[in-house]
Amino acid sequence: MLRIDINLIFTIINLLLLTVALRIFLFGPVKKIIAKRQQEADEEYEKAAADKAEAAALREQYDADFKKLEEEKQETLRMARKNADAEYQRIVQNAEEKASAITSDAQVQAESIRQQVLKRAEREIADMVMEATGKMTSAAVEGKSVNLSLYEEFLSKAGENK
Amino acid sequence: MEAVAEHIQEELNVQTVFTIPIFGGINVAESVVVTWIIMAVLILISILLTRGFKVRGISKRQAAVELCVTKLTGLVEGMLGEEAACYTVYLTTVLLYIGVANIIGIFGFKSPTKDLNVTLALALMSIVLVQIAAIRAKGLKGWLRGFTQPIAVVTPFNILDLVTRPLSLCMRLFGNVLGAFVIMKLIEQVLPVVLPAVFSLYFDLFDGLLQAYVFVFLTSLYIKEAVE
Repeated sequence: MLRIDINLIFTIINLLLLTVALRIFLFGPVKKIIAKRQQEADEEYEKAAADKAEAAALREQYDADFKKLEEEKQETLRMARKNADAEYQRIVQNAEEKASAITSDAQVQAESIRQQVLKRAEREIADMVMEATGKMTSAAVEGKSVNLSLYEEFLSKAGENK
Repeated sequence: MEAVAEHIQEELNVQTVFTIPIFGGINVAESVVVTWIIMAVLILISILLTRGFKVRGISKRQAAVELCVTKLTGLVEGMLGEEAACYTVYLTTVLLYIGVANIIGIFGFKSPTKDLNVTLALALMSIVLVQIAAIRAKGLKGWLRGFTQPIAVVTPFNILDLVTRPLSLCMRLFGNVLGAFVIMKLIEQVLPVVLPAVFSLYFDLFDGLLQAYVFVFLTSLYIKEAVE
Protein backbone atom coordinates (compact mmCIF):
# COMPACT_ATOMS: atom_id res chain seq x y z
CA MET A 1 0.00 0.00 0.00
CA LEU A 2 2.66 2.47 0.98
CA ARG A 3 5.36 2.68 -1.59
CA ILE A 4 8.06 5.23 -2.10
CA ASP A 5 9.76 5.03 -5.48
CA ILE A 6 10.70 6.94 -8.62
CA ASN A 7 7.24 8.51 -8.70
CA LEU A 8 8.42 10.83 -5.95
CA ILE A 9 10.90 12.32 -8.44
CA PHE A 10 8.17 12.48 -11.10
CA THR A 11 5.93 14.37 -8.73
CA ILE A 12 8.70 16.85 -7.92
CA ILE A 13 9.35 17.38 -11.65
CA ASN A 14 5.58 17.74 -12.23
CA LEU A 15 5.29 20.33 -9.46
CA LEU A 16 8.18 22.37 -10.83
CA LEU A 17 6.74 22.18 -14.34
CA LEU A 18 3.29 23.20 -13.07
CA THR A 19 4.81 26.14 -11.20
CA VAL A 20 6.60 27.33 -14.33
CA ALA A 21 3.52 26.76 -16.53
CA LEU A 22 1.17 28.61 -14.17
CA ARG A 23 3.68 31.43 -13.88
CA ILE A 24 3.68 31.73 -17.68
CA PHE A 25 -0.02 31.19 -18.33
CA LEU A 26 -1.82 32.46 -15.23
CA PHE A 27 0.11 34.54 -12.72
CA GLY A 28 2.32 36.22 -15.31
CA PRO A 29 -0.45 37.60 -17.56
CA VAL A 30 -2.57 38.72 -14.61
CA LYS A 31 0.38 40.39 -12.91
CA LYS A 32 1.43 41.99 -16.19
CA ILE A 33 -2.00 43.39 -16.98
CA ILE A 34 -2.44 44.74 -13.44
CA ALA A 35 1.02 46.33 -13.56
CA LYS A 36 0.21 47.85 -16.94
CA ARG A 37 -3.07 49.22 -15.63
CA GLN A 38 -1.30 50.61 -12.60
CA GLN A 39 1.27 52.25 -14.87
CA GLU A 40 -1.46 53.79 -17.01
CA ALA A 41 -3.28 55.01 -13.92
CA ASP A 42 -0.04 56.53 -12.63
CA GLU A 43 0.54 58.22 -15.98
CA GLU A 44 -3.02 59.57 -16.01
CA TYR A 45 -2.55 60.82 -12.49
CA GLU A 46 0.72 62.50 -13.37
CA LYS A 47 -0.87 64.04 -16.46
CA ALA A 48 -3.78 65.29 -14.40
CA ALA A 49 -1.39 66.77 -11.86
CA ALA A 50 0.61 68.45 -14.65
CA ASP A 51 -2.62 69.78 -16.21
CA LYS A 52 -3.69 71.09 -12.84
CA ALA A 53 -0.35 72.83 -12.35
CA GLU A 54 -0.58 74.27 -15.86
CA ALA A 55 -4.13 75.44 -15.20
CA ALA A 56 -3.00 77.06 -11.96
CA ALA A 57 -0.15 78.80 -13.80
CA LEU A 58 -2.56 79.98 -16.50
CA ARG A 59 -4.94 81.21 -13.83
CA GLU A 60 -2.12 83.09 -12.16
CA GLN A 61 -1.11 84.57 -15.50
CA TYR A 62 -4.73 85.50 -16.19
CA ASP A 63 -5.06 87.11 -12.79
CA ALA A 64 -1.86 89.08 -13.35
CA ASP A 65 -3.03 90.17 -16.82
CA PHE A 66 -6.41 91.09 -15.43
CA LYS A 67 -4.82 93.13 -12.69
CA LYS A 68 -2.57 94.84 -15.22
CA LEU A 69 -5.55 95.57 -17.47
CA GLU A 70 -7.47 96.95 -14.53
CA GLU A 71 -4.57 99.25 -13.70
CA GLU A 72 -4.34 100.32 -17.35
CA LYS A 73 -8.06 100.97 -17.37
CA GLN A 74 -7.83 103.07 -14.23
CA GLU A 75 -4.87 104.98 -15.70
CA THR A 76 -6.71 105.56 -18.98
CA LEU A 77 -9.80 106.71 -17.10
CA ARG A 78 -7.71 109.01 -14.96
CA MET A 79 -6.02 110.42 -18.05
CA ALA A 80 -9.34 110.81 -19.84
CA ARG A 81 -10.79 112.56 -16.84
CA LYS A 82 -7.80 114.85 -16.68
CA ASN A 83 -8.01 115.60 -20.40
CA ALA A 84 -11.72 116.14 -20.15
CA ASP A 85 -11.16 118.60 -17.29
CA ALA A 86 -8.60 120.47 -19.31
CA GLU A 87 -10.91 120.50 -22.34
CA TYR A 88 -13.76 121.70 -20.14
CA GLN A 89 -11.65 124.45 -18.73
CA ARG A 90 -10.52 125.40 -22.22
CA ILE A 91 -14.10 125.43 -23.55
CA VAL A 92 -15.37 127.41 -20.59
CA GLN A 93 -12.50 129.87 -20.98
CA ASN A 94 -13.19 130.19 -24.70
CA ALA A 95 -16.85 130.75 -24.01
CA GLU A 96 -16.03 133.32 -21.38
CA GLU A 97 -13.63 135.04 -23.73
CA LYS A 98 -16.19 135.02 -26.53
CA ALA A 99 -18.90 136.21 -24.18
CA SER A 100 -16.72 139.03 -22.95
CA ALA A 101 -15.77 139.87 -26.56
CA ILE A 102 -19.43 139.90 -27.53
CA THR A 103 -20.26 142.01 -24.49
CA SER A 104 -17.50 144.52 -25.22
CA ASP A 105 -18.52 144.65 -28.91
CA ALA A 106 -22.10 145.24 -27.90
CA GLN A 107 -20.97 147.98 -25.51
CA VAL A 108 -18.85 149.59 -28.22
CA GLN A 109 -21.74 149.34 -30.67
CA ALA A 110 -24.21 150.70 -28.16
CA GLU A 111 -21.82 153.54 -27.38
CA SER A 112 -21.44 154.37 -31.07
CA ILE A 113 -25.23 154.24 -31.54
CA ARG A 114 -25.63 156.48 -28.53
CA GLN A 115 -23.04 158.87 -29.95
CA GLN A 116 -24.84 158.86 -33.27
CA VAL A 117 -28.19 159.52 -31.57
CA LEU A 118 -26.64 162.28 -29.51
CA LYS A 119 -25.05 163.84 -32.56
CA ARG A 120 -28.30 163.70 -34.45
CA ALA A 121 -30.17 165.21 -31.50
CA GLU A 122 -27.59 167.94 -31.20
CA ARG A 123 -27.88 168.65 -34.89
CA GLU A 124 -31.65 168.77 -34.67
CA ILE A 125 -31.49 171.00 -31.61
CA ALA A 126 -29.09 173.24 -33.46
CA ASP A 127 -31.46 173.29 -36.42
CA MET A 128 -34.35 174.10 -34.16
CA VAL A 129 -32.36 176.75 -32.41
CA MET A 130 -31.40 178.15 -35.80
CA GLU A 131 -35.00 177.99 -36.90
CA ALA A 132 -36.29 179.60 -33.72
CA THR A 133 -33.65 182.17 -33.87
CA GLY A 134 -34.60 182.87 -37.45
CA LYS A 135 -38.25 183.13 -36.50
CA MET A 136 -37.54 185.40 -33.60
CA THR A 137 -35.26 187.51 -35.75
CA SER A 138 -37.88 187.84 -38.49
CA ALA A 139 -40.61 188.62 -35.97
CA ALA A 140 -38.50 191.30 -34.44
CA VAL A 141 -37.81 192.68 -37.91
CA GLU A 142 -41.46 192.71 -38.63
CA GLY A 143 -42.15 194.39 -35.29
CA LYS A 144 -44.09 191.69 -33.82
CA SER A 145 -43.50 190.98 -30.19
CA VAL A 146 -41.86 187.85 -29.27
CA ASN A 147 -44.42 186.12 -27.27
CA LEU A 148 -44.29 183.33 -24.89
CA SER A 149 -45.78 180.76 -27.27
CA LEU A 150 -42.64 180.72 -29.34
CA TYR A 151 -40.53 179.55 -26.41
CA GLU A 152 -42.93 176.91 -25.49
CA GLU A 153 -43.01 175.58 -29.02
CA PHE A 154 -39.25 175.49 -29.09
CA LEU A 155 -39.03 173.71 -25.75
CA SER A 156 -41.59 171.08 -26.66
CA LYS A 157 -39.74 170.25 -29.91
CA ALA A 158 -36.49 169.99 -28.14
CA GLY A 159 -38.08 167.60 -25.63
CA GLU A 160 -39.48 165.36 -28.38
CA ASN A 161 -36.09 165.12 -30.02
CA LYS A 162 -34.45 164.04 -26.89
CA MET B 1 -17.46 -6.24 6.31
CA GLU B 2 -14.55 -8.05 4.76
CA ALA B 3 -15.74 -6.99 1.36
CA VAL B 4 -15.70 -3.39 2.52
CA ALA B 5 -12.17 -3.76 3.85
CA GLU B 6 -11.06 -5.33 0.61
CA HIS B 7 -12.68 -2.57 -1.41
CA ILE B 8 -11.01 0.12 0.66
CA GLN B 9 -7.71 -1.71 0.45
CA GLU B 10 -8.05 -1.85 -3.29
CA GLU B 11 -8.92 1.82 -3.52
CA LEU B 12 -5.93 2.73 -1.40
CA ASN B 13 -3.48 0.77 -3.46
CA VAL B 14 -1.46 2.90 -5.80
CA GLN B 15 -1.79 1.23 -9.16
CA THR B 16 0.90 1.32 -11.80
CA VAL B 17 -0.67 2.70 -14.96
CA PHE B 18 2.15 1.86 -17.32
CA THR B 19 5.82 0.94 -17.27
CA ILE B 20 8.50 2.80 -19.19
CA PRO B 21 10.71 0.05 -20.61
CA ILE B 22 14.09 1.55 -19.67
CA PHE B 23 16.43 0.84 -16.77
CA GLY B 24 14.60 -2.42 -16.17
CA GLY B 25 11.17 -0.80 -16.33
CA ILE B 26 10.04 2.41 -14.58
CA ASN B 27 6.61 2.07 -13.06
CA VAL B 28 4.52 5.21 -13.54
CA ALA B 29 1.95 5.39 -10.77
CA GLU B 30 -1.69 6.42 -11.07
CA SER B 31 -1.00 9.50 -8.94
CA VAL B 32 1.52 10.79 -11.48
CA VAL B 33 -0.91 10.30 -14.35
CA VAL B 34 -3.70 12.04 -12.42
CA THR B 35 -1.21 14.82 -11.64
CA TRP B 36 -0.61 15.18 -15.37
CA ILE B 37 -4.35 15.43 -15.89
CA ILE B 38 -4.59 18.07 -13.15
CA MET B 39 -1.67 19.95 -14.70
CA ALA B 40 -3.24 19.79 -18.15
CA VAL B 41 -6.59 21.01 -16.80
CA LEU B 42 -5.02 23.84 -14.79
CA ILE B 43 -2.82 24.97 -17.67
CA LEU B 44 -5.67 24.73 -20.19
CA ILE B 45 -8.04 26.69 -17.94
CA SER B 46 -5.31 29.28 -17.35
CA ILE B 47 -4.72 29.71 -21.07
CA LEU B 48 -8.45 29.95 -21.81
CA LEU B 49 -9.15 32.35 -18.95
CA THR B 50 -6.26 34.71 -19.59
CA ARG B 51 -6.88 34.98 -23.33
CA GLY B 52 -7.47 38.47 -24.73
CA PHE B 53 -6.74 40.33 -21.52
CA LYS B 54 -7.16 44.10 -21.85
CA VAL B 55 -6.08 47.03 -19.75
CA ARG B 56 -9.36 48.93 -20.09
CA GLY B 57 -12.95 47.89 -20.70
CA ILE B 58 -12.36 44.45 -19.24
CA SER B 59 -14.82 41.58 -19.52
CA LYS B 60 -16.53 39.91 -16.56
CA ARG B 61 -14.33 36.88 -17.13
CA GLN B 62 -11.18 38.97 -16.86
CA ALA B 63 -12.48 40.75 -13.78
CA ALA B 64 -13.27 37.42 -12.11
CA VAL B 65 -9.88 35.92 -13.02
CA GLU B 66 -8.04 39.02 -11.82
CA LEU B 67 -10.00 39.01 -8.57
CA CYS B 68 -9.42 35.30 -7.91
CA VAL B 69 -5.71 35.38 -8.76
CA THR B 70 -5.15 38.58 -6.77
CA LYS B 71 -7.01 37.18 -3.76
CA LEU B 72 -5.16 33.86 -3.91
CA THR B 73 -1.70 35.37 -4.30
CA GLY B 74 -2.62 38.02 -1.71
CA LEU B 75 -3.59 35.30 0.75
CA VAL B 76 -0.28 33.45 0.26
CA GLU B 77 1.74 36.66 0.21
CA GLY B 78 0.07 37.72 3.44
CA MET B 79 1.19 34.48 5.07
CA LEU B 80 4.71 34.72 3.65
CA GLY B 81 5.36 38.34 4.50
CA GLU B 82 7.11 40.94 2.37
CA GLU B 83 10.61 39.51 2.68
CA ALA B 84 9.64 36.12 1.26
CA ALA B 85 7.12 37.37 -1.31
CA CYS B 86 9.18 35.86 -4.15
CA TYR B 87 7.98 32.36 -3.19
CA THR B 88 4.33 33.34 -3.69
CA VAL B 89 3.97 31.78 -7.14
CA TYR B 90 5.27 28.37 -6.05
CA LEU B 91 3.11 28.25 -2.94
CA THR B 92 0.01 29.43 -4.80
CA THR B 93 0.65 26.70 -7.37
CA VAL B 94 0.94 24.16 -4.55
CA LEU B 95 -2.28 25.49 -3.04
CA LEU B 96 -4.10 25.08 -6.35
CA TYR B 97 -2.57 21.67 -6.99
CA ILE B 98 -3.37 20.19 -3.57
CA GLY B 99 -6.82 21.79 -3.63
CA VAL B 100 -7.68 20.24 -6.99
CA ALA B 101 -5.93 16.96 -6.12
CA ASN B 102 -7.96 16.59 -2.93
CA ILE B 103 -11.33 17.17 -4.55
CA ILE B 104 -10.66 15.36 -7.83
CA GLY B 105 -12.10 12.21 -6.23
CA ILE B 106 -15.54 13.78 -6.87
CA PHE B 107 -14.91 13.40 -10.60
CA GLY B 108 -14.06 9.73 -10.27
CA PHE B 109 -10.27 10.00 -10.22
CA LYS B 110 -8.12 8.60 -7.48
CA SER B 111 -6.77 11.56 -5.53
CA PRO B 112 -2.96 11.86 -6.00
CA THR B 113 -2.59 12.97 -2.38
CA LYS B 114 -3.59 9.44 -1.37
CA ASP B 115 -0.17 8.39 -2.66
CA LEU B 116 2.62 8.84 -0.14
CA ASN B 117 5.00 9.67 -3.02
CA VAL B 118 3.05 12.84 -3.76
CA THR B 119 2.72 14.09 -0.19
CA LEU B 120 6.34 13.25 0.50
CA ALA B 121 7.43 15.05 -2.66
CA LEU B 122 5.41 18.10 -1.62
CA ALA B 123 6.89 18.03 1.88
CA LEU B 124 10.44 17.60 0.57
CA MET B 125 9.94 20.49 -1.83
CA SER B 126 8.65 22.62 1.01
CA ILE B 127 11.53 21.89 3.32
CA VAL B 128 14.11 22.39 0.55
CA LEU B 129 12.42 25.71 -0.23
CA VAL B 130 12.56 26.68 3.44
CA GLN B 131 16.30 25.93 3.57
CA ILE B 132 16.92 27.77 0.27
CA ALA B 133 15.00 30.75 1.60
CA ALA B 134 17.07 30.69 4.80
CA ILE B 135 20.37 30.46 2.89
CA ARG B 136 19.33 33.25 0.52
CA ALA B 137 18.25 35.49 3.40
CA LYS B 138 21.09 34.84 5.86
CA GLY B 139 23.90 33.44 3.73
CA LEU B 140 25.45 30.00 4.17
CA LYS B 141 27.18 30.93 7.44
CA GLY B 142 24.09 32.52 8.86
CA TRP B 143 22.04 29.48 7.90
CA LEU B 144 24.50 27.10 9.59
CA ARG B 145 24.68 29.35 12.64
CA GLY B 146 20.88 29.25 12.75
CA PHE B 147 21.06 25.62 13.87
CA THR B 148 22.77 26.66 17.09
CA GLN B 149 20.16 29.28 17.91
CA PRO B 150 18.98 30.23 20.48
CA ILE B 151 21.57 28.09 22.40
CA ALA B 152 24.08 25.51 21.20
CA VAL B 153 22.42 22.71 23.17
CA VAL B 154 19.37 22.69 20.89
CA THR B 155 21.48 22.04 17.76
CA PRO B 156 20.53 18.33 17.51
CA PHE B 157 16.86 19.22 17.80
CA ASN B 158 17.19 21.87 15.14
CA ILE B 159 18.82 19.30 12.84
CA LEU B 160 16.05 16.87 13.72
CA ASP B 161 13.62 19.60 12.65
CA LEU B 162 14.87 19.10 9.11
CA VAL B 163 13.33 15.64 9.19
CA THR B 164 10.34 16.09 11.46
CA ARG B 165 8.92 19.12 9.71
CA PRO B 166 8.62 17.56 6.24
CA LEU B 167 7.51 14.31 7.85
CA SER B 168 4.72 16.04 9.73
CA LEU B 169 3.70 18.02 6.62
CA CYS B 170 3.69 14.84 4.54
CA MET B 171 1.90 12.65 7.05
CA ARG B 172 -0.68 15.27 7.98
CA LEU B 173 -1.79 15.67 4.38
CA PHE B 174 -1.60 11.97 3.64
CA GLY B 175 -3.41 10.99 6.83
CA ASN B 176 -6.17 13.52 6.41
CA VAL B 177 -6.91 12.56 2.81
CA LEU B 178 -6.70 8.89 3.66
CA GLY B 179 -8.87 9.26 6.73
CA ALA B 180 -11.49 11.27 4.87
CA PHE B 181 -11.51 8.67 2.13
CA VAL B 182 -11.93 5.73 4.53
CA ILE B 183 -14.72 7.46 6.44
CA MET B 184 -16.51 8.33 3.20
CA LYS B 185 -16.29 4.72 2.03
CA LEU B 186 -17.66 3.49 5.37
CA ILE B 187 -20.55 5.95 5.21
CA GLU B 188 -21.30 4.82 1.66
CA GLN B 189 -21.43 1.24 2.90
CA VAL B 190 -23.71 2.09 5.81
CA LEU B 191 -26.18 4.25 3.88
CA PRO B 192 -25.60 4.67 0.17
CA VAL B 193 -28.16 7.46 -0.34
CA VAL B 194 -28.39 11.08 0.92
CA LEU B 195 -25.90 10.73 3.78
CA PRO B 196 -22.76 10.40 1.60
CA ALA B 197 -23.69 13.54 -0.32
CA VAL B 198 -23.91 15.57 2.89
CA PHE B 199 -20.71 14.19 4.35
CA SER B 200 -18.94 14.46 1.01
CA LEU B 201 -19.36 18.22 1.27
CA TYR B 202 -17.27 18.15 4.41
CA PHE B 203 -14.79 15.32 3.80
CA ASP B 204 -14.18 15.78 0.10
CA LEU B 205 -14.66 19.49 -0.47
CA PHE B 206 -14.13 21.33 2.82
CA ASP B 207 -11.47 19.03 4.28
CA GLY B 208 -9.67 18.76 0.94
CA LEU B 209 -9.41 22.54 0.55
CA LEU B 210 -8.64 22.99 4.25
CA GLN B 211 -5.70 20.58 4.02
CA ALA B 212 -4.37 22.43 0.99
CA TYR B 213 -4.59 25.65 2.98
CA VAL B 214 -2.97 24.08 6.06
CA PHE B 215 -0.09 22.71 4.01
CA VAL B 216 0.60 26.05 2.36
CA PHE B 217 0.07 27.93 5.62
CA LEU B 218 2.63 25.81 7.48
CA THR B 219 5.15 25.96 4.64
CA SER B 220 4.85 29.76 4.45
CA LEU B 221 5.17 29.92 8.23
CA TYR B 222 8.43 27.97 8.04
CA ILE B 223 9.69 30.18 5.20
CA LYS B 224 8.75 33.36 7.05
CA GLU B 225 10.52 32.08 10.14
CA ALA B 226 13.56 31.15 8.06
CA VAL B 227 13.99 34.56 6.42
CA GLU B 228 13.48 36.63 9.56
